Amino acid sequence: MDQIKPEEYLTRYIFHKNHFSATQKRPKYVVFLPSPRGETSVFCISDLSDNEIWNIGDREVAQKRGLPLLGRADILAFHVLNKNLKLIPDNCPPRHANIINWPAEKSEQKLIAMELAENSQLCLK
Amino acid sequence: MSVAVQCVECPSFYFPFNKEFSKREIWKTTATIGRPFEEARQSLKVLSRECSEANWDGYNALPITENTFEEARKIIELLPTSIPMPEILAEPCGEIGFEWRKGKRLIFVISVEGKYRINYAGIFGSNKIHGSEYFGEMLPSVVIENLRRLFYR
Repeated sequence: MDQIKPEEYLTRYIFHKNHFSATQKRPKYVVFLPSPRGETSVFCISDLSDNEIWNIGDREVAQKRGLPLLGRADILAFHVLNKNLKLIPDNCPPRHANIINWPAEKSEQKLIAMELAENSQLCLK
Repeated sequence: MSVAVQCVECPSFYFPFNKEFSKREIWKTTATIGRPFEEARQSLKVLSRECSEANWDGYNALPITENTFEEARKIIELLPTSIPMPEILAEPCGEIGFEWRKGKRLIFVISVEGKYRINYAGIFGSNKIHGSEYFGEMLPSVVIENLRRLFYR
């Protein structure tokens, strides 16, 4: 995976129950906020079945972090690239990428994260 | 004792958003209004248990500090009674966020980080805003105005 195209799908795995609304079936903006290192970790899930997507989350993320996987937020790469963010695949583990190039201002990060959440789809495990 | 509060369906009735009528004052006197206030305080307690250590989200999140919790409690107390209680969230950089959502693309969010500074962002249909303000004994007017914009316009 050298470059992620706008038409590809990404997912962000969710480990905190506070980060989604099960009743409204939506992820909250905090899911997409960057980590203290300024990046949001995602996986490219194009051409994968639902089971394969959950398996990646369990095997590559949940087990390594020792946290139960609760859900995921799927989003089209277009929405990320459209916000002047960059998608950098590192394939470590395979299909992994980071969303970088977040603005320095936290309020602007919040606004972008809100837009990403509005354009994403919540899937619960 | 009785207390008059603004009906959320009656935007023409302007509630005086000031310290005298803070959530804390009214909470002491009425059980009905006190319930969501107490629920918000409970939400903060839960976050305090779950997010006070680093990496609580599995993505190397910073711990939420006691200063930040204290400031979040103050925000809850300063919120006008006419505004519904927000969803309270922990953010990866150690902030506590408050989210009000009225519907698709109708969202207003503020956050605090223990430095008496509020970061805010809002989506009101195709209009968007973001910024930050310091605060003391009252919520910044920009926060109040945007909450009114979300719920009453």
